[in-house]
Amino acid sequence: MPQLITTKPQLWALKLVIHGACLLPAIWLFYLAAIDDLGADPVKELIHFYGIGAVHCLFATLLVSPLSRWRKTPLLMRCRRMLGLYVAFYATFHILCFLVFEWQLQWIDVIDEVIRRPYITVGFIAWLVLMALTTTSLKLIQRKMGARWVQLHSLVYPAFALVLLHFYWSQKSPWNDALLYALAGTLLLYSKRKQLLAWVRLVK
Amino acid sequence: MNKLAPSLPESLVTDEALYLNRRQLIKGATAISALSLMPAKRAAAAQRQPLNYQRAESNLDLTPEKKVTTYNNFYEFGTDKADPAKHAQALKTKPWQVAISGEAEITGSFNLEDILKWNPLEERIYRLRCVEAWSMVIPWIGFSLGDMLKRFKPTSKAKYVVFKTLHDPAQMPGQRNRWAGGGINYPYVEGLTIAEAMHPLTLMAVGLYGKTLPPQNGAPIRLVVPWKYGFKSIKSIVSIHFSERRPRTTWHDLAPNEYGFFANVNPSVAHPRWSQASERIIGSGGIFSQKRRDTELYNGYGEQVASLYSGIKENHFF
Repeated sequence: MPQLITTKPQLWALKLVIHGACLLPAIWLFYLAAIDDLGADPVKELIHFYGIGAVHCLFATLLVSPLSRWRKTPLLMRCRRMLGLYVAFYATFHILCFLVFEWQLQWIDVIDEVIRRPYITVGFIAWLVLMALTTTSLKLIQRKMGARWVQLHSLVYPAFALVLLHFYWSQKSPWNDALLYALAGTLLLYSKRKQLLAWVRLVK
Repeated sequence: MNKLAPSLPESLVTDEALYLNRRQLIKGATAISALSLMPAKRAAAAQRQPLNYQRAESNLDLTPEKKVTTYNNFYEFGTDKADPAKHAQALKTKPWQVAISGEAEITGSFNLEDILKWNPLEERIYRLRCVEAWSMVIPWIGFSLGDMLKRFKPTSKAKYVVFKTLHDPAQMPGQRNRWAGGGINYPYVEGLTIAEAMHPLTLMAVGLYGKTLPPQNGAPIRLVVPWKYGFKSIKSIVSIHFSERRPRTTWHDLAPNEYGFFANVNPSVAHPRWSQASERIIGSGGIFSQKRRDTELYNGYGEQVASLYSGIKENHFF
C-alpha cells in the first residue's frame, strides 16, 4: 500500500487544506450568526457548531497516529499538533459563545451553572485539560518535559471521554447523535487500550 | 386591548418588514459538520388561510413570525428545532376530526369545521416559555378551551382533561423510528386538571400571526397554556378525553425526575440540568443583539392563575 504523502510540499498542501477546513466554516458561521442568518436561534447554532467542531477535530487528532501507522506515512504525524490546537480553538469558541452570547457575560450565573450542572462541569473540566495541553504544546516545552510530556498529553484520552459524556448528557432525549459519537469514541479508546494501560501504570 | 393580556412594561414592537424581508433559506442551520453548509432545500410551504378574528393589542415585543415558524420542538418531525419546519409541510390537516370521550354527557367525533363555528376567534398575545430556558412572544388566534369543553357537559367525575396528538407514522417521521423521534413513546399525550382546562387563559389555538397554524406549529388545532412550560401545549390534537384519574403524560413518563405533571413556570425550581431563573428571548437580530430576561413565576400570569393552586398541597411547580 503506497504512503499517503511522501514529500514536504505534499505535507504543506495537506496542512493548508486542514487550515481551510477548520477555519473557513468557523468564520463563515460566525458571520451568518452576526447578521441573523443562521436559523431562528443563532446563539444555539453557533454554540453547537463550535462544540461539534471540537469533537470532530478531537476524533481527527486521535486518528492521526493509527492512520499514519496503517499507511506507513510518518509525515502525517506532523499534522497532529495542529489538529489538536484546533480542538482547543473550537472548544474555546464554544465556551466563549456560551459566556458572551448565551449568558451576556453574567459571570455569577455562569459560574453557578458550571458548578451546579454536571454536564457543564464535565465539559469545563475537559476544556481545562485541553488548555493544559495547548499551553504545553510548544516544541521547546515538549523537549524540556521529556517523558513527562507524554504522560501529560495522554490526558487527551480522559478529556476525550469527558467531552463525549458532556455531549451526550447535554441532550434532552435519550436517543440522539451523541450516542453514536460515544459509541465511536468507545471503539477508538478500545483500540488504544494498550497505550492507555501503559499510561495508567506510569501515572501510578 | 385584550382584557386577558397582562400589563407589562413597554418595549418596542418588531417592525413587520423585518421578518417579511428575511431571506427564505436557513443557511447552515444543521451545523453538523463543515460539509453541511449547503443551503437547506426549500420545502413547499403549506398554504395558510387568513382568519377572521378579533384583534388584540399588546406592548410585548413580538417574536418575528419567521422565527416562530422555524424554531420549535415537535419531535414527531425530528428532534432538531429546525426539523418541524422542514419535515411537516406535507401534513394533511383537512379533513380533521377531534374525538371527545370519557366523563362527559356528550361524546363523539367532531369535524374541525364544526368546532370552529361554535366560538368566535380572538387573538391572544402570549409569552411562551420553553422548559429549555428560551422564550418567545406569539400572537395566537383561537378560542378559550373552556368554552369548547362546556358544550360536552363534563360530569362531576371529570377531574382531568387528556389530549392526544395525531399518531400517523406515515406522515410523521419521528414516530417511525427512535432516532428520528427522540425515543418518545407516541402518541404524545398531555393533560390538565379540569380547573386548568376551564381557565379563561387556556387557549385552543388554530392560528398565529393572522393566519391558520402552519403544520410545524401544531396545525390544525393545538393547546396553548401560557403559564406552563411549552411542552404542556400539545399540538395537532385528535383526541380530548375527560378522565377521573391523572393521565400518564409524555415527557413526565420519559424523564419523571426532569418534567412534572404541572410544569408551571417557576424561576426558583431548576431543571436538574439547568437553571430556570432566567430565559433567553428569541427575538429579531443576530448574536450581537441578544437579550435575556428574568423568568417570572407562572410566566407572569400569576395574577390570573395563582388561585388555581391555592388548595393543592403537592408541588404544583413540578
